[in-house]
Amino acid sequence: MLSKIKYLTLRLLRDRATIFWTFLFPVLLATFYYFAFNNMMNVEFNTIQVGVEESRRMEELKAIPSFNKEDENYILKYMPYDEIFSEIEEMEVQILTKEDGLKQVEAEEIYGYVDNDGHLFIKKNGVGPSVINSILESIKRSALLGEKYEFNPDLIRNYVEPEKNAFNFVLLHFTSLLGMFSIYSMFNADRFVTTMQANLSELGKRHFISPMKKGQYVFNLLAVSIFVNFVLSNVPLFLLMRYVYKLDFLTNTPMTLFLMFLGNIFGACWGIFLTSIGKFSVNTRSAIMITSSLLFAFFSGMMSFDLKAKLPRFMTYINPVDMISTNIIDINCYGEYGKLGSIVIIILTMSSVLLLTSLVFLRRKRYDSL
Amino acid sequence: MTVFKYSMKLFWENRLTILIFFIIFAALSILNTPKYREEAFEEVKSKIGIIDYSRSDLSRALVKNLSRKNIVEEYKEESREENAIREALFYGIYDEVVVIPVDFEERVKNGEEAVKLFVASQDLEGGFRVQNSISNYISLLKMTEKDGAYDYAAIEKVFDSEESPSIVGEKLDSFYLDRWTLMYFVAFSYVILFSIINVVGLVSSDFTEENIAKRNAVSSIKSYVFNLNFFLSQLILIGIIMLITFVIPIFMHGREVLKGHFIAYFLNACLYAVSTLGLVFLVNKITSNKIFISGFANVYSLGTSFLCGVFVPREFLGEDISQFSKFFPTHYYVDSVSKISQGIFPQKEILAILAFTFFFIVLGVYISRTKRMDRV
Repeated sequence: MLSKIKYLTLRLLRDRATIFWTFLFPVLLATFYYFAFNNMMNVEFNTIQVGVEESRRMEELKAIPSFNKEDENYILKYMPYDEIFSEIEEMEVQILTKEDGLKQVEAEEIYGYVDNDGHLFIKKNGVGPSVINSILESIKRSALLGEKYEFNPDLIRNYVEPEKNAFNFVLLHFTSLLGMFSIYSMFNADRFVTTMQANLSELGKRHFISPMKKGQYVFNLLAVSIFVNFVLSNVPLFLLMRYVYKLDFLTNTPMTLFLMFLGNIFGACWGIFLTSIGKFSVNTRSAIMITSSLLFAFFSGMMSFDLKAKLPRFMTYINPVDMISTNIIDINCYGEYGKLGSIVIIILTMSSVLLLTSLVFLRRKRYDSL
Repeated sequence: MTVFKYSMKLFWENRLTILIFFIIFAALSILNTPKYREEAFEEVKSKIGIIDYSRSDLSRALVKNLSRKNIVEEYKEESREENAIREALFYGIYDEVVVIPVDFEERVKNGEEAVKLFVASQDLEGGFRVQNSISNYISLLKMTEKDGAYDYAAIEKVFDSEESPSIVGEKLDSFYLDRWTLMYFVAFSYVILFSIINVVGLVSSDFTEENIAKRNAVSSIKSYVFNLNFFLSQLILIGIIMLITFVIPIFMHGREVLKGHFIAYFLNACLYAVSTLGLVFLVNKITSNKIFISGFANVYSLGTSFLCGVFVPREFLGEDISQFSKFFPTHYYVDSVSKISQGIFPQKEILAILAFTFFFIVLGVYISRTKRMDRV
């Protein structure tokens, strides 16, 4: 059995496609990810750019007809918006004339412009305009209520103790990458199963007439597919991320590698299943495998966090890449092992079902002619 | 027409592969583009989880007030420990979690920090807005305090008197539709790049395979006729890909989508597709190895999409990466889309894309001639 495993491994390693997909591609993609997301690892508060019109002087105010308290909201016309906004650290305030301010809003150089009547001008919806509107409305509310009740500036203060989450969602891009490459054992399995099928390869013809048990052979190729992908692809990828790109959040090496190993089991079974179910061409099978792995990864947040956040939570439990990716985060960032047991059971069950179905398809095949 | 006929036949044989790649990648790109239908100003709502240990009138009033402009719900996760809260924030289950302590009323009375606000790192600005809303509400309450009681009705009245901001420039709905179209065409550059390199590249490699290439070298068909036939069949495939690219937005948003810069974006994408064809031509002249072509399609399309600002806005990429990306046509494509959105004709970018196309073809022809001579 060991000699069979040895020859299967050598066969795989002599294939240039295997070397590319299992070793070079993960390293290259991880490098692209690193360059793309490196600067986003530590998200800081983006100061909100706002233009404010200079407050009116008393002489100007007196010239306004409504400045005689007939206007219920007259107070809003002489609030010193420029001074109040300038005092807020999170704001980057420019004192602008109305004409310049509106031009800058139109050109999207600032998120919004507040004139000295307390009116806000924006170009589009978004967090920036929402923050400006929220602060402006707070100023107006305080002013309006302060007219009715005795205004005490000491009451206007911070009553909240904020705490920023230490870990950034960008990490999810990297963990889903680890998850995606852990199921790449499917490519190895696909190549092996092709060599088992008499209608697809010369070697398959020899296998077909040989007395070798199929179950035994499938077990061997499963072991080799997992071993080659795990050792040649996943472990170097993990080391690259942890020690070269210094992604320090990957603190728990044994558990991270264990989760990736689980992914390999699923991947190999998925590859065997896809190859055994139909008579797809090599190109079509390759397309199905690439797109399925990308789909799994996409829905686990590899390309967009927003989509993952909107997905119902049960989706995690039908997506092996998502299960692996989120558990790498849970264990490394939060020391949370609660979901690990159920995830191991789900992945192993999925793998078993795929493998058994594949065996049903592979066994006792007959060919009219070869 | 033999070459044309056989290349079309090869494309047809690979139709399933082409469809799988194109439909899946197109679907992913569409899912990745933001929604646009917002017709008036709307404050960005945060999803807030509330843990209320106080259960007082004051805390209930605060929660009710927060729900005016946010999606507020009771925190539902199994564990209320701080690490579990942070985990829920990481996965975007909530944008913020507000913890109201048992002694909330006492803290408000004493003017102390009365609530704890956990903020997701992806929503720091939103967290600041929520922090401001809470502090403002408590400040207003304290303003109305008389003999330990608060005038909730007076506060509700000032909240009701809010006015909406004015929108500068065009209407929001057309603004967002144009923004959606821009994002769509930027995201689709990856689909176009990947589909063309992978599909055209793989089919073309059948023609450049050693034995077939030798046969072609000695055949009576003139080189330019051969290439013309071949190029024509590829153009037809690109035409189909671009037609689907054209139809998807109309299918999603109706004819309204055509009103903005859509046609300009589309023509620009067609130019980019032809430029990609030039690249495929060059790659095919270098190698007919399908493994290399498939690998190149993945690495080049993903790599340039990441480095040139398709997936990640360029301002996050750093100066060195931005400079390096100038060696790829995708950089100029992204720039041209951005210029079109501002109503500027992207003359420089179009020239750059054309220059790349010319370079790819000239180099491809040179390599082809050299190899042909070698074979002869």
